[in-house]
Parts: sequence; structure tokens; C-alpha cells
Amino acid sequence: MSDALPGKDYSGNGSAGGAQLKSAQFRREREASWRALERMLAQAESSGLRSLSGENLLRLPSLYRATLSALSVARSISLDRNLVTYLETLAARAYFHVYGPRAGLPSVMATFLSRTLPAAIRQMKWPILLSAAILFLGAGSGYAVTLANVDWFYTFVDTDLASGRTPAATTEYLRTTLFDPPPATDRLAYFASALFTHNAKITLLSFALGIAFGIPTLLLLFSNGLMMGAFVALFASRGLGVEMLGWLWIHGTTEIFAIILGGGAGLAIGEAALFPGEKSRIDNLAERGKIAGVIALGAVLMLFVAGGLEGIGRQVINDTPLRFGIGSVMLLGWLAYFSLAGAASTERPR
Amino acid sequence: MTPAATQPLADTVPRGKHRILTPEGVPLTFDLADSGERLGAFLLDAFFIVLIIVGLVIGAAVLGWFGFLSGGGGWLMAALVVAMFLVRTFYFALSELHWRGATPGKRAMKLRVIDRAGGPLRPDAILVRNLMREIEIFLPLTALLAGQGTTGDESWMILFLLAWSGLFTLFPLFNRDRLRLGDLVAGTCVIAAPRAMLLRDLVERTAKRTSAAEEAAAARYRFTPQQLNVYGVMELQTLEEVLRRGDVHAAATRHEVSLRIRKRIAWQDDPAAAAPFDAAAFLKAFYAAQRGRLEQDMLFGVRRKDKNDRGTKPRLPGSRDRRSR
Repeated sequence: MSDALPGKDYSGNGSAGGAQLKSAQFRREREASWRALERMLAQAESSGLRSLSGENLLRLPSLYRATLSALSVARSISLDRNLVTYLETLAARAYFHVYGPRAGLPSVMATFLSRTLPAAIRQMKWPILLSAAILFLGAGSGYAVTLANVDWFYTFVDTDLASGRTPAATTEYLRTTLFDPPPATDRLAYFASALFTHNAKITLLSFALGIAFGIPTLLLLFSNGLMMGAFVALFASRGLGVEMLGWLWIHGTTEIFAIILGGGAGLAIGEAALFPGEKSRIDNLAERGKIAGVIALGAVLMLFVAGGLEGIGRQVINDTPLRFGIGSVMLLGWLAYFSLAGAASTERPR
Repeated sequence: MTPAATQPLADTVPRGKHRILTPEGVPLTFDLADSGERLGAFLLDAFFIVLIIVGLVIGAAVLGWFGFLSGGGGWLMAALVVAMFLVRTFYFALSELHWRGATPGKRAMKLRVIDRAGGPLRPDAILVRNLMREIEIFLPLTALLAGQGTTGDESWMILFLLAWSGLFTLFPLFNRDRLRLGDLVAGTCVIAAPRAMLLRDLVERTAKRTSAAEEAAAARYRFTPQQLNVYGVMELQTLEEVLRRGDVHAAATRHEVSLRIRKRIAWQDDPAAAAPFDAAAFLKAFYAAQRGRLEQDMLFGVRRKDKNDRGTKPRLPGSRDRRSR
């Protein structure tokens, strides 16, 4: 007796009637398309999605969806575990390619600058304002306390960082630190790059530390403020207050802005960890964390600009009104960029 | 979806697995990457970073040697400092962006980053999960380096910082989905890239025509509906494994399993059969018949999980979980 007859009752007499099993038939009909997808994925995995021909690239999503639906069907009709496992991994591999990060770096950066970054900053304006408030509170305290008793300077400022600009220094020396004769430009470039990397590391740190409920970020912001205030107070006590502010202003409007943004990003994470709101803590963190990370990268980019202004611009430009002018233009520029860029088209609801 | 399709998926996700729902609404289950694999991937990547930085330094030294940039080489130093910072900070983010969620180290260890909820993996998620390395790697590293040669109060401070930042680093060991802080904040997780081969369907014959021996076997190894009522899905899939095995003990195992099944379902061999009893042919026939039966039941919405599942009494909660662990 042949068991290749269609429609035989396999459950009753149960000879090895594979041809009749619905699951086997299902597999026979679809296997070719799975194999096609598998070949495509093998190529994409080894030499990149770009190596696929345009036609194959177009077929990928539809083959992926077909495999997903085959997986759903197989789960409900087939007990062949190898088949279900295979379909599951095939769908998963295709999923990586269909839902992986799509765009190349240039277009990611373009979107980042034109839309994502300004939108993120607008969305996180309260943590950023809090960050600014804490920094300036620190600066105000540092200024007031140091002005009253100059010995506090040593408490707030790391003497390594001060490089001789301490209350023990003469007024003349302090003046020369504000209006250095510029060294050769290539020395300046090195100075600028060192400043940039140092500041960027601190800012990324204050962002990342936000995960500890924002507390280390608050402390970092406040202590940075104290240091700033103490420096200004030291120079102000020698009648160099305006010159000092000009020295600070030319790059500080960019640099301090960036520090505030980095701190604000950290506080946003801390806030999400502390007060999850309507969502679960972990979902809330994931959502706000992405926005905060965007701001942190924006802060690093600003610090790069600030490094240039500080390392080169400040050393070359020794005229206080001009320093104020450049710093103010930068500040207005940043404010306009963050509040206006991409605002019309892509503001997220909420 | 039919109840039959949702039922086996409604169970809780076992430890070491992560389940996502694709945007199409189909659940996919992944193996989470284990700590050793992730450490291996990280060490590889760290090695690559060191290689790149060494390469940059050598490149700069060579340029300086040939006096490429006259005037002290300050520009060269500046470029080197910035380049080193960029490599250190963005190596992970850029390579994950380029290779769709896998750095070279992860590619070597066959790991991948995915969106925890199953959505697309966005560039901002990649960015933030890697910026968090600042406190997971660089903070403890800085503390370690700062600890060199310190004494007294200062070294206690460093020790405290080290312990505290160590908590950040070891975070993946303390949660179910093995998330590091970066994963937590970015809504991602790291999984082992899955790989499985599609093997031949056991009920499918390779040759188009059936030989006389096969026909004889088909006539000989037959089962009654009562005999197919004994086992469930779990036993069927165990049998599938037995049949797919190809090691040296496979024949012995198959023989033993066939004896056990014969006894359990009270199967009687044809007394007139001339050929000796063939365990492999018997098991194949039984597998095909049993699968046909269970799959047909499934179409009617009945899924017999295992031999103890009689379909009438409710399943004890957690009974499946105990098995899968």
C-alpha cells in the first residue's frame, strides 16, 4: 500500500505519511522564500546591507514580513521544533536589518543638528534651567564668600588648576594672566585641544552621573560654580573685575552654557530615575535618557567651539570690549539656534 | 491569533531570555548575551581602541619626524589630542551605528544590541548607551590611576570612589535582563545573535519513489488512535531530538527509546514480519503519526503539552517553568 495518497487519515493508521502533514506541506510551499532571505542575510551580515542589489534590498522587508507571518503560522500548526526555531532566528536576523539604525553618519548628524538637538533642549528646559540655577548659585556663593574673606579661595579652587592665580599673587601678575602676549599659534592649538578634552570629559561625567538620582551632578555643578565665583572675586578684589569678566565671557558663554546643558541632561536622567510619573521607572528612564544623551552630545560639540574660542580667540584678542562682543554674539547665536531650529516643523506633541 | 498560538507564548519569559514584540505584533524570543561574552567583546573593543590610539601616535610621530608640520608641531599635537578623545568617546557609538548594533568586538562574539521593547534601534539610543560608559569604564579607570602612590585619607577617598563606581560597572550582574547602566538609560539590551539551521523535515522523504522495504516498514509500523493518545508535545519534541542526533551513541539511544515507547503504548509487532525490528524506522513512523495527530488536535484548539496533560484539569501554574529552568 502506498502512503503517498492524499487525504489519508494519518492519525488513524499513522504510517510515515509526511506528504499529508499540513505542517510539512506548509514548509514545502514556503521554504524557497526562507532560503532566499537566508542568503540575503548572510550577504548583508558579512559584507553589509549596501552590498545587496537594489532589487534584493526592496525584497528584504517583504521577505521579512512573510517570514514573520510564517513563524506565526508555524507556531500554531507545526510541532517541528527545528522548523519553529529556524523561523524564529531567521525572522530575528532579518529584524536586525529591517529595524537596525538605518541612516549613515552624515544624515544622522544632519538630522541631529537641524532637529533632534534643539528639540531635545526645548523638551528638557526645566532640568536645564535648574542646572543653570545651581551653577549660578554656586558662583554667587563663591563670589560673595571669597570677596568677604579671600582665604576661602583656597577651599574652592584646586591650586593645580589655578596655576599661580591665587590671592598670594601680585595684581600685576594677575593682569598679565588676563592679557598674555599670544604665543605662537600652534602652541595655542594644542592648548585649545587640551582644554576641550578636559572640559568634555567633565561634562560627560556630570551627564552620566545623573543616573545616581542627579545628586553627583548637582554637587559637580555647585562646586564648578563656587570655583568660578572665587576666581572672579579674586580678580574683582584687585580692581580687575570687568577685565576678568571679559576674559571669561568670550568663551564662557559657550563653555558654561555647555556645562549647564551637560548638567541639565544629567539632572533629567536623575529626575526620570526618581520620579517615573505615569510610566514604569525603566520605560521612563529609557525615553528621557535618549533625549538627555542627545543634549550631552550637543554639549560636547559646543565645548569644541568653546575650546577654539578659549585657546585661540581669547589669547589673540586682548581687547575687553571686543571679548564681550564676541561672547555676547555667541550667546545670542546659541539661544536663537536652540529656541528656533526645527521648531516649526517637528515639535513633538507633548 | 488563535488560542493555540498564544497559549505557549503566554508563559513568563525564562531567565536568560528576552522577548520582544516586533512592530508587526509577533513575539520573538532572544537569548541574552551572558556576562562572559560581553566582557570578551568589551576587551576586544578595548584592544582595538588601544590599537587605533597607538596607530595615531605612531602616525603623528612619523609626520613629526619628517618635519611635516614646521613650527614646533603644536597643530599636530592638537589634532592628536582631539583625535584620541574622539576615538575614546565615540568608538563604540560610531561602530554600533555603522554595523547596526554591533561593535567589532560584539561581531566577533556574535552579540547585538536591540531595542528592549522591539522597536527600531535609534541612533540616539546608541549614542546614550555608549556615553554612559563614562561612569562605567572611565570613572573607575581614573580612580584606579589616581590611586597610584596615594596614602592615608586620600587613598581611602580613592577606594571609596572605586567601590562606588564599581557598582556602576557591575550593574549588569544584578538585574534580570543583564542591562548595564547605558542599556537602562537607552532602553536597549544586548542579545546573542541567533543562528539556527533548517534541517530536513523528519516526516519528509528524500526520494520520490518508495522502495519495497519502506513500504513494508510503513505497513508494519502502524498505530491506533489510542496509542497516539499517550504522549504530548514535549515527548514528541524530545523524540525529534533523538531522531536528529548523529553521534556514536545515537543508535543505542534510539533502540532504548523504541523499547520504552513500545512498552508504554503496548505496541505489538507483526508476528509474521520477516525482517528484524528496526528501531529507527519504528521511531520515524511513530514520530510522523504522533506529530500528525497532535498537529491535527492543535487545529481544533487542543494542545496537549505532555503525557500528563489530559486536557481536562487546569494546568498548575508554574509547572512549565520548573521544567524549562
